[in-house]
Amino acid sequence: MANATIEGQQADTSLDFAHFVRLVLDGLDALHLKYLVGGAVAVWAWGEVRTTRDLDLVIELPVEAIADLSHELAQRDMLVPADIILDILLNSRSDLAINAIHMYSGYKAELFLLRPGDVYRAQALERRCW
Amino acid sequence: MPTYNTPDPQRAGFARTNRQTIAQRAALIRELLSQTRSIAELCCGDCAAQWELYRAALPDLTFCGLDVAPAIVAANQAAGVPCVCGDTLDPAALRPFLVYDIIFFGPPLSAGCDGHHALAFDAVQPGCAMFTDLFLGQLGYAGTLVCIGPKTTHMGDARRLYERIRAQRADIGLRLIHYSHATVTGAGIPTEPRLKYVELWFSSRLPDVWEVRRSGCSTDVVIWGRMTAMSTMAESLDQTTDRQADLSARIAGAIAELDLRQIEITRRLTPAQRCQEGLSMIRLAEQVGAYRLRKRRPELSEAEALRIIRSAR
Repeated sequence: MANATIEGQQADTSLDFAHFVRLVLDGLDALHLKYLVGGAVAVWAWGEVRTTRDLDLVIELPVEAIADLSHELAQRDMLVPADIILDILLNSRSDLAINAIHMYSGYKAELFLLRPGDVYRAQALERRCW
Repeated sequence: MPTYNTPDPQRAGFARTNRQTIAQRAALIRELLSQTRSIAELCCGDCAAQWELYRAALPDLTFCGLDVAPAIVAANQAAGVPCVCGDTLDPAALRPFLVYDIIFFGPPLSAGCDGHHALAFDAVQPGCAMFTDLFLGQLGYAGTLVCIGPKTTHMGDARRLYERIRAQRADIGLRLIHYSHATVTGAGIPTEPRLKYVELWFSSRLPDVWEVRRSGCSTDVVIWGRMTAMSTMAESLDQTTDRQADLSARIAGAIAELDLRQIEITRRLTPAQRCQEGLSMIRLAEQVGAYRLRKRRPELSEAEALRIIRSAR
């Protein structure tokens, strides 16, 4: 775990929420996955404050990228076996997210999958702004 | 006569009990009924593991199983387990069991006995209500009867069965409501913690105290068990209308919000670390808000944008 000095004391950067967000997004960027930030973090950008411990994302995940996603997350201390991701992708009855939990901080990224026919999320992905 | 749930002969056998849950029962018997000399299992299925573990815990034990399926009975007998063939709603088949100290009544709790599609308490066949009417009411059994209910069993089910029994037998009370969890399957394969079933310990020899106890789990696992039950409820809603399918998805999603791994990791953090996390989230919320504000109003400096965000104007 990396450390940084804050006001003369060593602080664990893995406990920094911004660091966690960066970790997750770097993993998605490494695979060139299209994603959308949602939930409380997205609402912050509009000046509304909502408490959270999660980072909600919508991602477009091709089946062939499942193993790579599992690997990228594992490299960042979030263990999500590929077969669990596959199960979630195949289970279209429930809108379950891939829960990627950082093993040191407890922060959780909820990766909701863009599913075929989900027009709302598809449009949201196209409308995303920076 | 009701139609019983029986296993699909084309599929691999499913064992509801395993060494963990049987060991839990053995521990309860030693604690609550240490003088036990005889145990019977009705709707016993493959009860070789019970036979072995009960004998290990209670050396002088007399044991017998009863099952309606001749093939199951034959397999038990071939394994050296005392077992007879009969229907649990047949008085003639039940009479020999009136002398046993403890009776475990464990009908199939899932559709097709597959262990995955748990039935509601009242949907189990043969049901506890009909069985207790016969065994306690008509035949007058005196001892301890453990009715094994599906993991969906709730307090209302326990209350209704209790009142039905008490209307016939005022000497019988409900000693224990036992939630039995396990972290291995019947085949011994490790799994996430699962609520396997709920035992209702009715007895003419134990006090009527309605104690609730959970075995094989921490508090976290209790939450997990409830989540499992709610997942099952969500799945059961899934088969009908679009509205119910939507509701099912929402319930499943809400359940998924609760993640035991996250809770466990958070528990290990010190108060200072939790505080650090909270402050870091406030900091990021401010930075995100300021970033977006400056996108719309580029003339603002970062410090000005932060000041506006912090003052919530």
